[in-house]
Amino acid sequence: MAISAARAREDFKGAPNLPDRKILLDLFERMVLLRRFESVAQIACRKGETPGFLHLYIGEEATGVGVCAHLRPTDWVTSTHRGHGHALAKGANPGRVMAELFGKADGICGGRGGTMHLYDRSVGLFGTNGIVAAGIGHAVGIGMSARQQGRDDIGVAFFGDGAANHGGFHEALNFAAVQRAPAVFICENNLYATATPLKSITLNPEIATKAASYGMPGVAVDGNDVFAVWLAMKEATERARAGKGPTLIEAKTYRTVGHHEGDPVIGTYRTQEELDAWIKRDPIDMFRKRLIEEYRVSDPEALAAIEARIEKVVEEALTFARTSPEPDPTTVRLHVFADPINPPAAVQPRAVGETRIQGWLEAVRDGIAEEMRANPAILYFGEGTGERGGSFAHTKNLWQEFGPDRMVDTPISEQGFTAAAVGASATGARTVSDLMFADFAFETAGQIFLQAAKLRYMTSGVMSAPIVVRVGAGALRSSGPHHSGIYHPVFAHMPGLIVCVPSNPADAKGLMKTALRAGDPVIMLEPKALFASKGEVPVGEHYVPFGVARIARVGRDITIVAAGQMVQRALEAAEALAAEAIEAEVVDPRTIMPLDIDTIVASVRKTHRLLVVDEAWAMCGLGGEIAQAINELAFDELDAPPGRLHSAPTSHPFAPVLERAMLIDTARIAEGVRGVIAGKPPVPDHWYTVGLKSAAPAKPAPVSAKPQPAAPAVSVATAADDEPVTMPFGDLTVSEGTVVKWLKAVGDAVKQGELIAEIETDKAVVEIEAPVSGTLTAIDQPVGAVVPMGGRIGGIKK
Amino acid sequence: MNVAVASRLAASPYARRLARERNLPLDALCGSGPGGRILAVDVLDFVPAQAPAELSAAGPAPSIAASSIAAFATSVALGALRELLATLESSGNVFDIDDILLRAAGSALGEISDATQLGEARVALELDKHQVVFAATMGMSLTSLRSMRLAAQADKRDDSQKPAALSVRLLPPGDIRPMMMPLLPGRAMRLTVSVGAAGDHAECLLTADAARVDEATSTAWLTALKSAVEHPLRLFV
Repeated sequence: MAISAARAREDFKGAPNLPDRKILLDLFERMVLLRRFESVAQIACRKGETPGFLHLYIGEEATGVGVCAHLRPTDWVTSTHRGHGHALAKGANPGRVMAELFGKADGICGGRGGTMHLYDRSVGLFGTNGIVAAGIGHAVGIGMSARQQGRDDIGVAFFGDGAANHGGFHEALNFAAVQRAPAVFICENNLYATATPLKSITLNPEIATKAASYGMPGVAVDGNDVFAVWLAMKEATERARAGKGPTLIEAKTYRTVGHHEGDPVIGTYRTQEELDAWIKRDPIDMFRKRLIEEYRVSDPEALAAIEARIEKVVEEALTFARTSPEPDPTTVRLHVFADPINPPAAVQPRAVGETRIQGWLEAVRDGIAEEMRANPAILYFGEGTGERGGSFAHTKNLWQEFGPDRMVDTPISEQGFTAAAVGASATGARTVSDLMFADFAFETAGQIFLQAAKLRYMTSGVMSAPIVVRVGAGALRSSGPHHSGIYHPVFAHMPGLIVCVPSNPADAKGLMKTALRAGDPVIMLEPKALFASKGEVPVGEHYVPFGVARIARVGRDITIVAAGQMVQRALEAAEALAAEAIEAEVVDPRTIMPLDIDTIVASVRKTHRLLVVDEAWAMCGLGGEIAQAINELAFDELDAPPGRLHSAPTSHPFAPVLERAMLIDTARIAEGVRGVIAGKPPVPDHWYTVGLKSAAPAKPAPVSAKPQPAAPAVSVATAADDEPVTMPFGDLTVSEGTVVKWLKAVGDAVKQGELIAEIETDKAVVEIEAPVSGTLTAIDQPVGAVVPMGGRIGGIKK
Repeated sequence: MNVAVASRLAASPYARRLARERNLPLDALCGSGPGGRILAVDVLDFVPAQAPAELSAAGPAPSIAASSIAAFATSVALGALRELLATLESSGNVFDIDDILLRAAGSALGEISDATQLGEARVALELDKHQVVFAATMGMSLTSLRSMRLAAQADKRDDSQKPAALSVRLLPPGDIRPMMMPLLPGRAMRLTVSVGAAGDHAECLLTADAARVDEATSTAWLTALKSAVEHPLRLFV
């Protein structure tokens, strides 16, 4: 499988199948362009003309040029912080790239991206990248996206030896291999990760051999030999286009400059001797000599003419960059989100039609299926979301309808497959990245925050990654510290990310359908506690626009702002307060970003009081955000200080009694409302300053006595002296099941452990075994009856 | 400057706004919130502690800023009312135009939708330097209303500190048309009526605190009043 660089040279010495002369001269010319461009950029940087850092590719040109020679404009490359060479090799305009390095308006990203964030849709440049290994997974998704759209275009990732020890590399390669993704991975091994020698950070510095771990071919080539790179890439490209899967190419090379401009060329980590040895192997000098002496396809004069022509091109590029205007500072707020932020479907007026009662999961599944039918390019990546139908049955039947190529079962590699989803979404195949739990989003936080959310802005609106990150969120019956978080303020903090927290099945479906047509990345935080809930859902096309709050209850005395599972708690509190002649208005923002502050302000103008109830934590949270917005927008309307109630500032404890103490319940909301109306809002203590000042322990917040029912009530027939047969407690997101079969009749003898009935839940058929041996004396729930978890369905007498 | 004046009064932003709109100094208000914080309700329920005349002697009286006053006028035909009163008088039932106006004003208050926002839908009848407040001008017979009015007039009872949405002022008959009348403290509306010398029509001026009574409410009220007086039979049932 491996192609030795040495053998490649031997094969082509005077061989009749030497590539066309033009190809060879193009390789030379392109390398000269990269070198001259960067030499000029280096001088401009030293003069202070380029803002920010500058990482030069000098010495490594053969790799980028040899690889990109095989690529079409419709193939995409992803790149690194050292990516000017990749941009130029892929065909980006030198003048516009130089202007971008200068931060000018005519730069390829309008000055918003700069050296480490160069994107060009027109030539298939998917960004140089400031984050090590971040682009590797993008190339996987780009390839899968092209395949899904019926094209044989491929994704190619450039990265350094430093990235080869990063999770992003391993996750992406594994996912690419198992998906036979049309992708090629190019590791430019220049021996140092910034200044850390490769051999000091891995016991296997032969990076090409790492491909074996993932069952894909790995090839090591002389990265300073442009023809060797060209040959290796030729085979890898053909494999990828033919659907045979990805290849890892390790190009052994060396940068003959410092890590970045200003960093010493030699120093603590490399010696003058080492540098001199590599300069003798300069890729341009070596190839010039070969073209003349070995291949005999050119002469010194012809090559000098090429170099003179390039010199002129680069001079023009520099002049273009210098004379290009600065970007207009008044445009700084443009290109954060699509404008308008809502897709046309979401804002089309629709007649209020028929509705039907649906469960949350079914409603959202319907929404996804409708959109996947309408748009054949939509992909869905998730762990166990294929044939299994998802951990919460939240993708049930989608695999059966759309097949494994669209409902992709992924390895547990959140970073890898979310990166692929970003790459696919940005290139025409909008992808859902299903991370199962909101907590797991942090495994791929960089892809969500740094890649997806920033793409539109970095490219001045030319590109975007309309990925949908779908997670079950929030507390649900002792899910514990790693499966209970909701974190919407963390996501809402990031410009460019749309954050949805629906509170009912209709909104969940409508927001999901809008997300699957939107122009921006969306994180859909579906409260797990509501998966078992039901509600009226409009039949047919139903979209909920982003940034439009819902008045869940009309009132005049106080405005309660609540999202997700807190909406129902707030409504319960409002009903209780109505008995005290307090009429609370409940506003459900539905999307945290964009936030419909106007509706909240209008409500406060009416009620003159505000209580924010939010499941996420208080620190830098929604309560403070909305209260301050009211200070700024409607100060003169406040008749009392705004209040906020958040989950206690702790991790989510496992023990039910502790979890109840941590979460907001109906009684606390009612108490909070009374406090605000009395002019004394609940006093938070999430700053943890008490211990800093004295040893006094924090006072426990007064809590109304009535505990919230944490689980469906268990009805145990105490009157009967038989042993009850019950619907077992099962999955946390399932609350009830339907009796589908009784295998025994009243009067039948049963043995302990014998199957006596079957109950179907949203996720599975549950077999009911006899708890004891005896006679079945009662069938309380006939076939077809819906039984809550823990509910009695029959009885056995010993 | 004494300490009490320099100390900061606690008031909710909304209460401050309402007081500002009414030209009410905060230190005239009594706060019912925590620590004596002045709330919106304290401003809305505010009734001045002193009679207006004494206040004006003591300094600038708390009054509604001219900019927040709205005024609406209408002519009301009295022909039907005259005929009706004459018929009643011939049967021994004597009523004055004061009684009819009180009744009509209360009836009109009942007809406007947000009368409740103005606090108690009560009507104050302005007499010489004092007022008599009638709680339910529609809840009793016109005869009782009349006897109550005459009794209150006789004992010089002063209700000017009792809440009422509206005060009614009847000018001496003549051909003077009222153009502007100040609002009385604590009253959101004031009706000034001048019956023409011929007795066949009356000029009615409604002044209102625009911050509390919007244009639509004022005009609706005045329309209802005009209709009630011009079709007076309804006021007797």
